[in-house]
Amino acid sequence: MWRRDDDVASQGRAATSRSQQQSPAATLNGAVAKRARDELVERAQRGDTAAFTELFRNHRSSVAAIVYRMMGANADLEDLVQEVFLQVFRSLPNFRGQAKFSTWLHRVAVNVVLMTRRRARSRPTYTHEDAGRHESDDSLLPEQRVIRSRRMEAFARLLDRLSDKKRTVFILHEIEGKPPAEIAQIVDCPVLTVRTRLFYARKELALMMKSEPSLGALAKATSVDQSQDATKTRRHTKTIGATEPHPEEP
Amino acid sequence: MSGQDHQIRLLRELVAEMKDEPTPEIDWERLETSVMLNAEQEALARRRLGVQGHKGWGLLAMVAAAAAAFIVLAPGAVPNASQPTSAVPAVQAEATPVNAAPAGAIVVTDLKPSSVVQSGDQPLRFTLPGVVSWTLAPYSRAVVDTVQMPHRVSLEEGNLRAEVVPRHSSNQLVEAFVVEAGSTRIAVHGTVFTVERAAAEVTVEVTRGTVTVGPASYRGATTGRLLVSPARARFSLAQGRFLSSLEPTAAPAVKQSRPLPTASPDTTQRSPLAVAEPPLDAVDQPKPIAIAPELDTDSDSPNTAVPSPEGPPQLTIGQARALLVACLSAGTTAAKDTLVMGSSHVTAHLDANGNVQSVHFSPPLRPDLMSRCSSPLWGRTIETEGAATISFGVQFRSTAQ
Repeated sequence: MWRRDDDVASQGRAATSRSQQQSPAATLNGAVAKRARDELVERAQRGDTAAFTELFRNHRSSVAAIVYRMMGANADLEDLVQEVFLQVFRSLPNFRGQAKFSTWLHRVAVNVVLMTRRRARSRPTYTHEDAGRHESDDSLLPEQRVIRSRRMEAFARLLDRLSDKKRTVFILHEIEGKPPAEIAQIVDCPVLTVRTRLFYARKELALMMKSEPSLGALAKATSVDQSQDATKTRRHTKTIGATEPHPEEP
Repeated sequence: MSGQDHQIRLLRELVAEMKDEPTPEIDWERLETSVMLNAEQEALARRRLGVQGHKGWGLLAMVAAAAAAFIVLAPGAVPNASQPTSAVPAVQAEATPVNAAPAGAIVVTDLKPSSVVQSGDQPLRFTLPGVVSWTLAPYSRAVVDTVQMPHRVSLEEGNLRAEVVPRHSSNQLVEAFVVEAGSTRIAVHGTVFTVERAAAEVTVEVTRGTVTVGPASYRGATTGRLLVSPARARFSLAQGRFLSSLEPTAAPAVKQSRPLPTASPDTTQRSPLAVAEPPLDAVDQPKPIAIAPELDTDSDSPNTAVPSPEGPPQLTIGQARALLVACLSAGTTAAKDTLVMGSSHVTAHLDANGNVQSVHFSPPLRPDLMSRCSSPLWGRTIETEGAATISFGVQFRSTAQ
């Protein structure tokens, strides 16, 4: 999990080299698929409604996931997803294809979320039932479900305490699994800045966890179980401190 | 194992759990329809404005030249009241061609956001199909802030009457139509109501349904006072503070916001930007002041009557409270194995007959819950002596069935 970004980059390079070693047929298929995607975007840019509908269907789940992870259960997910795609519809003529369409789309989604969060800060919040985030998992006992639910709430609170920049990068990388290079395009900053933000986000989260009572109790409870395989863990875990911060950003 | 390792491990577990958490179910079909509909509307509006742009600019130039010529030739002849006070650009050229929209209503998507609309001596009707139709009374002025949902209008002067198409309860958190007057915001989800702006206050009359009146700073989900039909109340222009309840007027109509001049009217007294110009032969004949133009917006309304409440017409405060608690408990859903508890302080204003005129929840609850649960009180009287304000706390709880 806490692999260094270099690892991600090296994996990316490995993947690239693997793709280079693919058979000519696979390469051809990939090229055809890419061309079809590009054509779809071009058709949508020309005002083809069917093409835009296809783009919506292809990317709606990833957009919903990003919006949900970044906004939490309190937000009106459907409204925000709609807002993202309307923004995309408005801005599609300006898409020049310098990045992948999905990257550009996720950038729009992140911007919509950040704008919404900014607006929401000046508004009162309604009491909510919080039924959306923690859907019942039948594989867990009721007590486990409650504990898990509280833990997720506490973690969401911690994430909320991070600055928008660090929070965005952390969620995109750790939860959504995006590589720093793509995140750099999404948030429009250098890759090194993304890595720095990731480093500090992890560090701050680890510190904040001490102050969160439910997580503190959980840490105590798990520490007993974990002590048994501590040696193994130490061997396999890349610690947070292992990723050196870049001095670009405090 | 060090403390730092514990935290790292815990953080990893939390991230893994959050990763595993599924995204809530979304009604993709409905969302796709909505996105495509809005996108098509935008495209249509863009095409129309694009086509009319050149004509519009030409017309605008002519209108501007005529207005400038008049100002130069007759300084001081334009009354101050007809000068736009808003800082937004008063571009109306594109509104003129669409005045010939079906049924005489201007489709708001044909306007640009931040357009100023100003009526002459005839009311102007606007419509956002499927959402709202609203009428600007004679000699009134408003700024159309947004032309999409939520459709927002700022009333700068005069009187505005709106009829909002009732929406499905699942959509009610999204405000369909919003009127702002000064720092007061009136948000509606499906109702007929009138807003009248005066120098320092705004009067809101609800003919059917409910509206929420609150500070304009809370955009997106207006908090404040629920007004339920039939009700009429005054609010301050600053932050929408409740001032007093008024007797609802008998016949809902759009009032003329200011009287016509008694002297022979000059055509230039109306703003050159007015969308609806009367015929030239009517200009020299001032219309009688007393006759306010009646609107037939009720005739095509989907709600033809306010449903009469069930049960005895007169309630005690305890009964009213019990009604609210029962509704709030029933309307709150809890996840499996969880208990949801809530509380709020309710303030209700009663008129001299004990009729409930407005209800206020502090802190506010979900808008649809407040609207639904206060509705059993409308049309009821509560035992009090004369006009009064009653307040009580409600606590409710809900468990999964």
